[in-house]
Amino acid sequence: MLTDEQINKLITEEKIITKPPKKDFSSENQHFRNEFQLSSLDGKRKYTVFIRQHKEFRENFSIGLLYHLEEESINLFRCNGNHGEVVVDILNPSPHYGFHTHKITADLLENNINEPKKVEVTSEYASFEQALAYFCRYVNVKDCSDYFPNINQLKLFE
Amino acid sequence: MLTQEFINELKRKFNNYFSLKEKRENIFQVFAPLYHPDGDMMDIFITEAPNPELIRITDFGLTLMRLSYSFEIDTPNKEKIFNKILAENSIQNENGNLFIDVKPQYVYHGLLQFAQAVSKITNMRLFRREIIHSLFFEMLDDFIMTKLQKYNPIKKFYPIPEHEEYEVDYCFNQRKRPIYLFGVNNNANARLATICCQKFIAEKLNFTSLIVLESLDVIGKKDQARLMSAADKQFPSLEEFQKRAEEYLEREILQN
Repeated sequence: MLTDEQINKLITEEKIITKPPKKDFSSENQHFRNEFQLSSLDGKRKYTVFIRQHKEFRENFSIGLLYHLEEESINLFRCNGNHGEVVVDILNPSPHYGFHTHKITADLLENNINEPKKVEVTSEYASFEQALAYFCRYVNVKDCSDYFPNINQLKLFE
Repeated sequence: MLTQEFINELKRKFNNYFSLKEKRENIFQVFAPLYHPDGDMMDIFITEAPNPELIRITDFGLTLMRLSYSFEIDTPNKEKIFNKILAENSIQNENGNLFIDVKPQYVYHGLLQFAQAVSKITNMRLFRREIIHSLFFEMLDDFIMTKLQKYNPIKKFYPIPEHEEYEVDYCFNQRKRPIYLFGVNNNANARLATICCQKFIAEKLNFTSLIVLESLDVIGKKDQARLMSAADKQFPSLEEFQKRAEEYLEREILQN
């Protein structure tokens, strides 16, 4: 079972792209999508990044990091757009609005919950492009600028 | 389209935990205590239906977008399940845009019905191979211990008592020549089953080996070839075994 420290290490450890994203986002149903594969620098741990953005409601997007174990995948971290309301505890709702992140925790995994329910409203980004840049920085993708030009310039308030 | 009276009525039905926010012109997002397990509120909208007497409850394709984070509807079987969920909940699908058109007085019912369908669709993630994979032995055990009980299956059987490392998942020994059954859902236990069969042959044990694979693609070609040459009979899937197990056992018992 992973501890919070291990989860954070997994999220933020240096990673390199092993299968690059498609040059152009593909269109499926009502959204645009792209994916790419990552591995830790020693090649021992594998990850997938999924990127989704609604075609019409551009503020509805999701960029997530899946960690692949032998038997399952865990969504460790996700950056979400400003899609509406989000609560930390469904039975004791204190709703948040705005751009936010989801993270998995050791407590959740211990209780057999694979949903990244730890929600935090963020001011790190205010658009899809900024979210992608923030995500790549936060999950420490070393070579993301090879595939997403200008990504390192996309910081909020710069 | 949406009068204050109409909104107040919905609010009352949702015990005041309800509001609408105009997301785009004439597209109203529903704010009600209808959440996904990760805390995000379900993406449900109310808009005009082509029939002016009806109101459209829709997700604008956001349910399938969410599902696609970790699951694809990419096989005929998954599509069948997806369409069944839609049909059972009277939901229509237009290029991934899910919706239901209802009379204004039934919007509350429609919203609950729609939320139920959204929940079922997003839970299709539980059909992921790795989850089904981990259920294989549970499902095999359940089938053998209930449906094949009359053949007196013995779970965890050791044909060479002093060598417990050579374990048989289930033994049917109602006849002189017992049947040793191995469940296989990955390369590792395919190799283990092969080694066990070869050991029993080397020890000149009198037995018939039976392999139940989770599916043909769970093991590599070389492992498949080794297993085929070591084992007497293989079922290519649990489903196939469930269909033919009784007939097979009856025939084997008659022969011996």
